[in-house]
This record gives sequence, structure tokens and C-alpha cells, in this order.
Amino acid sequence: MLTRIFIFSSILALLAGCKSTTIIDEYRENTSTSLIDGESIVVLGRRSNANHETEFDFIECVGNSLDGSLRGINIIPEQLFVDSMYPYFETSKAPMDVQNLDSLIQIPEVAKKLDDLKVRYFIWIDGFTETTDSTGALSCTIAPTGAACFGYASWDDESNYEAVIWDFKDLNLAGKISAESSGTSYLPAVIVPIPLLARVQSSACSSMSAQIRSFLQ
Amino acid sequence: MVMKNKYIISLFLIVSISGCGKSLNLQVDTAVPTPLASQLPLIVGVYYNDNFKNFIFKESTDSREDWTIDNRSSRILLFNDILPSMFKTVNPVNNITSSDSMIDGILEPEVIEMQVALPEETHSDMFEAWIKYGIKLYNPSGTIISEWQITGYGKTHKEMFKNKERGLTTAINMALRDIGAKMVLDFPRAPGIKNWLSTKIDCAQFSNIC
Repeated sequence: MLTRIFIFSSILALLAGCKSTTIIDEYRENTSTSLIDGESIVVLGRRSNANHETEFDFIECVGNSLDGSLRGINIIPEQLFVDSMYPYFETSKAPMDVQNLDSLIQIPEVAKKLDDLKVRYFIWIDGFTETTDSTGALSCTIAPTGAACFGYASWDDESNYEAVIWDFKDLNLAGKISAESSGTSYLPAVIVPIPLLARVQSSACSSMSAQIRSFLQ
Repeated sequence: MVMKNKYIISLFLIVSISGCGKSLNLQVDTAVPTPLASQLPLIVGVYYNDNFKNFIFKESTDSREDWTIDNRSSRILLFNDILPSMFKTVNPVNNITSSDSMIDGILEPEVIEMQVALPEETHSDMFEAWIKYGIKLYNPSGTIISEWQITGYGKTHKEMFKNKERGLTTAINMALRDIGAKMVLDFPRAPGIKNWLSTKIDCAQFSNIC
């Protein structure tokens, strides 16, 4: 009987769940965007909010996705950029508005470094992924003879990210892209847990990267 | 093979149990990048007093039994890395006074306060650290020119398998980076510094500073 329930719930989960849906929205200023070979883009996370911080791995994921798809364009890794610009892009000191870049480039050392890096676009991403709901119960036992789990759990994840794109050449806001993604994951277990995961953050990353790519090309 | 599995499971249990302990003994070694800063043509002495050299965070309460966080080496390293990017010459001195007529001023940092917080204590998803330093600037005769405080803040998200040692180390590293950033960028805005700089350097050449 238990095996039947397990098989039934697994099939149900496979059929109904593990999918994530993503909604992308784009706002474009009345400016054209273009990239020239050799120019650079830097993708940075906003972490000034007290209640959340944009995940480093999400920023890395967007950067890596763009790196593989924008030929001739250099994507500067976040930590490398923040370290080389220290202390001007630390969380408490980073420019919050594109107009602040104007005063930043009045500092000769900063202007030279940005020129050396050939930065054309700053992409600031703010947002996070969180688990909004969870149900079920799962218990595991570890004994010298072995380990086993039994039960069933499911949870909902939601991602909300917004990318703000600054054009460093014209010192203006080029546009904004937002990605909202959600999905339900399942974890049925009879002895061995079988994770059926909705890749919500990954889906938000790939959708946002694709939209940024089309925005800039 | 069975013995090996038992050994792995026992090890896993020991590691799990020890990870839940209330005591903490943390050695934090932070390195900050070389700052991009306009180097001022000044000769500055730096005096690391006993408080600054020896301060160790210690706490012993019901929830924090025998907590020790030692970041002494990072603290001095931070100033040794930051100050030479701000001033042409930085010399360590043993006192707040100097008979060297070439010295323009003497800096004396001290630790005022350090606080850390775990996610379960603040009911948030963050490991957090706050570090407050006091900075004094003297002229070579020992008269105080300026005195100000810098508070560095660092936080990091709790993640699966991130224990309190790793979480607090990251938060403290970020707080020290923040202190370094504020030391470089807020120095010209500290009380009395602009007046002092105007007597020492040609402000027309350093319009972004004084």
C-alpha cells in the first residue's frame, strides 16, 4: 500500500510539478544600445538591503551566461571588478545612481582604471530567491546498519530579480529588465529520497541573461 | 566496505554534533585589495597602541559559551595596506609624539567595539558583524587635530552547510573591508581634516580631497 502511494505521488509530482515559470519584463530608455568588440560589461549585485542580499552565485550565473554568448565582449567577474576598483564599489560606497558615475570619474585613478577595463555597461542586479511555502514531513534514520528516509515533502520557491543597465559611455540609464520565476519542488522518500527539484533560480538566471543579451545586441 | 561505511557515518555524526556546539574559537585573517586612492604628499606616522594590537573579542554567556574571535593580525595588516595608498610615506612610531620634524601628523587607531550576530539570534537569514574603530590624528607634538569613528558592517546569507565559523568569518572579512573603504573615502570629511590639509598641501592639485 505504501509503495503504491509512493509510486503514485512520484508520478504525480513528475507530471504536475518540478516546472518553473518565468515572467520577463523589459523597459528601454529612448537610447540605442550597441557594443563594440573589446568593450566590457560588468554584472554586479546590489547588497545594500538590510533584509536580503543578491546571491553571488546568481550574479556569477548571469555573467557566465553572457560570457558565452556575446562574442568579442569581455564580461568582468564581479569580485575581480570590485577588488580592482576598491573601495569605490564596496556595498556601502557603491554608486546608487548612474549620475553618481559622473562624480566618480572625476577621480583620476578611478577614471584610468575604468578606461583600462574598457567598461561600457554596468548591469546592477537586485533581488533574491526564497522558499515561500513548504508542506509534508520527511524523517531519516542513521544507524550502524545503514540509513533510510521515509515521507514526503514539497516546497515552493520564488525568484524576483531586477537588472538596471547603465551606459557608461553616455552616462545614462539604458533600461531595466525584471525576472519573476516560481516553481514547486518535491521530495518523496521510501528508503531513498528522490529529489524532484524545480530549478527556479536557474530559470530566472537563464531568462534574464537571454533578455539582457537581446537588449544589448 | 561495511566497516568503511560505519566509519563514515560515525564521522558524519561527530562532525554534525560538534557543529552544534555553543563555543567558538575563531581566527580571522582578512586581506583587503590595494585601494585606488589619490596619494597625498604627506609623511604620516602610525601608532598602534596596546588596545589596537591586543584586542580580542571575548564573550561568555548562556547562549555564547566561551566565544573568542581573534583578528589582531588582520587589523594591523589592514592599516599597513590602506595607509600607504593614502599618504606618500607612512612610518610606524612608538608614541603619539615625534621629534622628527618631517612628520606631518600621527594617526592612532583603536578598537571601540565589535559585535557579531547569528541568524537564529536576529531571526534573519544573515550572519552579521559590526566593528567600530576610533581614529585620532595628532600633530607631532601630540596635540590632537581630529578624532572620528568608523563603523564597518558585513553580512552574509546563511546557506545550507554554512556553519557559524564560516558565516562569521565572511561577515567579519566584509566588515573590515568596509572599514578600509571608509578610512580611505571618509578621511577628508572627518572634522578638522580639511583645515589641516589646506595647511599641508596644495588643495588645487587635490580638488577631490580638500
